[in-house]
Amino acid sequence: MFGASLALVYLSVVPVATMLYASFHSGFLSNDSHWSFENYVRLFGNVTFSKVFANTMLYGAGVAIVALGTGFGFAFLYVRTDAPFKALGFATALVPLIIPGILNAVAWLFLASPRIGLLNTMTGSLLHLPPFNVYSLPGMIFVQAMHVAPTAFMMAAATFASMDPSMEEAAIVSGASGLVAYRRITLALARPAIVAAGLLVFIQTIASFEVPQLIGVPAHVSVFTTRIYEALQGYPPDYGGAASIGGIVLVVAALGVALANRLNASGRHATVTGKAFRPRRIELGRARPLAGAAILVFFIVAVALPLAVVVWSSFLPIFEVPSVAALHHLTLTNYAQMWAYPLIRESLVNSFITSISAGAIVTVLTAIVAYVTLKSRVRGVWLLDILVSLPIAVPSILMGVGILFWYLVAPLPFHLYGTLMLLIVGFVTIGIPYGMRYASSGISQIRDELEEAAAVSGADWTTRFLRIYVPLLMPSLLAGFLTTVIIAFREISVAIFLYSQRTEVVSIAIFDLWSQGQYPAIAALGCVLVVILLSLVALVSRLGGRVAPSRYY
Amino acid sequence: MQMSENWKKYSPTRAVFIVLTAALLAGSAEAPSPAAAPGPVDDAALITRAKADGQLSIYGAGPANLIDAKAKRFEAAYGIKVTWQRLGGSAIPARVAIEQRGGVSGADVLIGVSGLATEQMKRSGFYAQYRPPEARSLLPGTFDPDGYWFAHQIYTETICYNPVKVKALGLKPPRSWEDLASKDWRGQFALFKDSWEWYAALKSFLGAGRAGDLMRSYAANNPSIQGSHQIGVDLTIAGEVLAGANVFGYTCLLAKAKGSPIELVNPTPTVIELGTIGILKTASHPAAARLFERWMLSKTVEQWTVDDLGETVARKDVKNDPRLLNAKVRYVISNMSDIDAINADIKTYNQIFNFQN
Repeated sequence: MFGASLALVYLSVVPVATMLYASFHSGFLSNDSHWSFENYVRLFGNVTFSKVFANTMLYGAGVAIVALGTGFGFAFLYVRTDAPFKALGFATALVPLIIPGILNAVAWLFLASPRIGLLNTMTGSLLHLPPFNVYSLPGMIFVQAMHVAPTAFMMAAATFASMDPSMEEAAIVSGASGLVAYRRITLALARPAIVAAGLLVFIQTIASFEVPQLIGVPAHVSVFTTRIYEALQGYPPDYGGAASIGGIVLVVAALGVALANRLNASGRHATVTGKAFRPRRIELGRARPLAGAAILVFFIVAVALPLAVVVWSSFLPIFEVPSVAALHHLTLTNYAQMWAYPLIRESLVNSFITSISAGAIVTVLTAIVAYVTLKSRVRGVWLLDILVSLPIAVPSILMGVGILFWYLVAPLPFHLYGTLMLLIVGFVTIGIPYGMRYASSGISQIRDELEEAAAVSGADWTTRFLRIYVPLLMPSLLAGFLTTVIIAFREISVAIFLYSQRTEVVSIAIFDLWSQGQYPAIAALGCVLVVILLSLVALVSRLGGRVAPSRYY
Repeated sequence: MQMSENWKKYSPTRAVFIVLTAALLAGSAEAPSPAAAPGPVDDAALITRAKADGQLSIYGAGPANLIDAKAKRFEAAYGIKVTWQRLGGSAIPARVAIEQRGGVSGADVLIGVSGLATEQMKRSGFYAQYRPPEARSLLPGTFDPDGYWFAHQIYTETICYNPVKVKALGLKPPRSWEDLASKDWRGQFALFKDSWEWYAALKSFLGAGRAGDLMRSYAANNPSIQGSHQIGVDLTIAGEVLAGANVFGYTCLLAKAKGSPIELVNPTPTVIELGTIGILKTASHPAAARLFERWMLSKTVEQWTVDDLGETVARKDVKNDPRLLNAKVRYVISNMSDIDAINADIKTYNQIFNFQN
């Protein structure tokens, strides 16, 4: 336990500490670097700071609200009701998660650009509606929300699947309506997960890069990551200036984590006991078609349309609005060119190695550390929880710079620069908070009596952990593993400073293609990537079904 | 001395583009065939040392497939293993800076880097000084007189437009930079966000007053700000915008050759940006780097990049595509040597468009 905790703290703290160090140094990385508040003075003194801050908060809050509403809503329908189109519901949650952020943003540009957007073209000609301009703050919120709702969905699904329904049943038997039981029992019990998911989505959003870069810049909407990227791309790169923005994000996130910990600390949300249970499925009755329609609409908007436009683009040499004439231009050339693109095959292999490795490392470490923070009686564990959550509060792009600098200049007995290991370190670092949230949500549902019974029977800690916690945590652990794998596959911001020759990953290949305006090739690679990741998810889910207690499915 | 007041009386840049135009006239004409050369690089000792190095590492900006083509051709010519990494033009200086700080040498040579980024890295002491004999054939203003970098290719910054969409809206095709400043073009064109060199070049030609007014008109016209030149071309072809300001001419021609609805305009002045090659001081394979630089600047290879890769080069004795370089067009190259002036231009440009820094 101590080793795992130490490893996680090291991985989490080092890049964050590097970022903070840079934020308090003028001329960071130059020969005349010195301690200074200059970066923060410059930041707060910038006339546009308040506008950028407001944009960022609005953007993050808007995405969190929309993503939580859709994610938790559909997770409840999927796990706890007899709503139809369950398979669509799961695909709706999963596919946006798999699609890289850049691909998702490009897809929505093709769908909702004022002039050439497919949706605008259709609604304009059929319904005479004014075009929806995706190049706006609401447009940014919508696109990002559709992309991160799966994060909330997966956390909610794991929570609802592990929830003992006996309290809901008791409420209903006592005369409470289904809605009252949902509001006062189910939602209350799910509150830690709701808070955790909301925090995660908010921080993930204000630290995201793709939507602000592709949609925000043309829309003249600047947020923190826009300014960070500008600072790092200028010459000389303004690491201190960029890091000072990261410091602000860290403060905002720290406040959120402290609040979330306070809400979760009461321990009154545990429902998994020694008694066996099966999640109660609510019969929707006359509301069933409505639920089905909601799932269908959300599936079409969040999954089918972006995927369809990506698939459509992948078969065209240049993007065209669907038409009879365009059908004559369909070709497989993009797939052939994508495959022939320099280093694509190597990047796919590299992505497999780094993402699977990172997923495995995160799953093991966070499972152990979640136990330590929630079940052990070690003093000061609250600090451990905060420390391992730090990476989520640091924009990934700064995380990458911090990791790169540390492993370049720190007097370590090994060299990671130029190796895949450096990327694995980066992906593990950004995956830790997600793994922790999933593992923590799962462990918080398990009452102590199960472990106490095993301890009384003579089982040591390792036996108790492996034979009691791991099987019960399987849904959460699998969710954390898959999330880390998928994030590692699609993550660009942290990888862009860590990759070097022969260690390119597929997210960098996509970014390269985007910067060269190769949208058809991006579409082709995106389609291939979605197929690969869907296959991976199916494989892991099948393996998870064999390992986890069947009563949860 | 204000450039805008005196550029008609005296302007070193004016002299540059007069010489440049004359050189282009000479270069665009049929050059007399040189005597047969033994190979692109006539230096057996250098070739031997380069082969002893055994490998070469490149950081390059520009299309990845073009970098790959050059790497493979060089590898085939000399049997020296080449590894390369494509980075965005503005990402290369940052990458080199952090590697230098960490004492790591990731590359031996840089190619395709913009003139501004190149000059900035030269000032930071990243480049090694080396004057290849091939540099004598380069156009004036396309190489560093101190011998640290040379333009292996040049980009013409032009205007592109979608003729179908323009006609459908009843607009006249743009013919000058000033046309895009008119109210007809409000919100209708794309502009590359980091167009500092373009602005600096326009300023040296038009004067600070006229160039500043032009930029303010553009800013007021609500252009679609994009993260790369290529995206401007793609959006124009797709019809999301009607035109792209300061796009690279050769990319327009490549798209047009594929049947895309796009036309190219060489306005006055047409700005020339440089894509440079330079050897890093910390190169692990210096001989291979020198051979590569000479090979890239050789007439044979430069002509090949024009004929087969569609690029435009700075050698006086290589025939470029006349649609991009011809005697009827007036060109200007921004003067990267005055880095303080360039930094001031960057600040002015960012303030006009309300960008950070």
